[in-house]
Amino acid sequence: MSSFFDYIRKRSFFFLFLLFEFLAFIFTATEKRRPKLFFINSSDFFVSNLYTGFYSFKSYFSLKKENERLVKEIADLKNNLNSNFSIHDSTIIDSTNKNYNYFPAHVIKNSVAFENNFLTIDKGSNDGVRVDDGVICDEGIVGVVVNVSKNYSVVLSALNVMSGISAKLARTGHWGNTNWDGRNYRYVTLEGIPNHIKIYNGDTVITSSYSSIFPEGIMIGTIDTFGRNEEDNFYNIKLLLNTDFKKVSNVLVITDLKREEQLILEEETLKEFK
Amino acid sequence: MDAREGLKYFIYSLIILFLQIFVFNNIEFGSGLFVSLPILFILLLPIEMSKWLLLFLAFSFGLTIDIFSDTLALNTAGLVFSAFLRPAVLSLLQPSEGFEPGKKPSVFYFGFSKFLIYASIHTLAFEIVYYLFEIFSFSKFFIIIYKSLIAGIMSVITITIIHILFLRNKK
Repeated sequence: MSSFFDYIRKRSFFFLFLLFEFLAFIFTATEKRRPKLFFINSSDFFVSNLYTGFYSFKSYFSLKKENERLVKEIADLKNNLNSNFSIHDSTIIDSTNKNYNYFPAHVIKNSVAFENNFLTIDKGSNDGVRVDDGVICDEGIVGVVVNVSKNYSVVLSALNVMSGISAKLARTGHWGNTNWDGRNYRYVTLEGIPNHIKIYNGDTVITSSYSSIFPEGIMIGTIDTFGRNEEDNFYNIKLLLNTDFKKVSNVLVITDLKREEQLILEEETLKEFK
Repeated sequence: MDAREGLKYFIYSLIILFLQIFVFNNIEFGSGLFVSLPILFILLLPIEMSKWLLLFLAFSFGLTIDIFSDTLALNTAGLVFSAFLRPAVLSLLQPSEGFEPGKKPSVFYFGFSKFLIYASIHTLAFEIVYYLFEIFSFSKFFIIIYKSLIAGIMSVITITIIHILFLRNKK
């Protein structure tokens, strides 16, 4: 036994190295699965404030105020849109019966370079952002909120290998899932479209109504190339994203106001049939 | 290492941190390739610094960089690995009579070609561990090697230029 301890003592530098690498491994592994576990990241107060300062310096070049005004206007218009209300009657407009709440936010940090990309936005729980809220921009989808602090939120970008968004073909209505392979930031793959239907290059793909994150009909992208997969009867589709993630700066956060109701109902149903 | 020396290295680390998160994290060449400056900090530390302190500094400095650039713990893993290699690399590069006491690694002390070898070994070790941790699988071996090589070459060039600029400023 004592020779074992001698060995450890002789090799202690090596073991310290292994310990540090192991810690780094643990941080990386847990963080990849669930970003909220890490003790500190860019939704943290100090780090975010630094980035906010940097952003305000950068946005001098992109006419910050003008953009803000425009995004607010879009948010207001979307809030008052007819399709946002459940009752389709022009005589009754009940503002308490909204399906979704839209509000504007700024991206203060963004990346497209890694396999796991996140965005940080400058709205948090104080502004009503919740985990699992959808984030879009004027061009299309951006991602899903995964972590919220008081004034900031971290968004899981659609350009993340863990990201999957429920999508459908606008023309036929068939639905599938988008995935990212971690390579080109302009393209994602669309899976689950059966290959007996006819699709064409340039077909529009939008969000489906099956997820409680995005409303139906938000632009995702257009079909760039596709091929038949003989093994599983589904197409291999490469989508050109409509959103250019390299210039996303003004976004809208979408809160599904009826999500709880829907989830509770679904859970209760599942329990009953168990 | 006295307090003044320590302060100097602290300021170096701050400069490197700021350059990395505000300049080099925003410059992307190709897809997902960045210049990694943090390795310069490990390169510059005094030759006779204890390897324990070196490992500890690499870990804490890497973690700081990671927190600010949202890169999980990739920089930490890379820096710890290259700090682990440093004693061996230095003994490989030392002249037959050994290094003069009190000297620090630099282009002027090592000579250009020797410094390039010194920087390249550390940078390559850093980049390989960095992309290995990021991609997380051995099945994409060639992507890891490809990314490490390209990012490594760019990093070595940048590190050498910035290192020379640092020395100029000090004089």
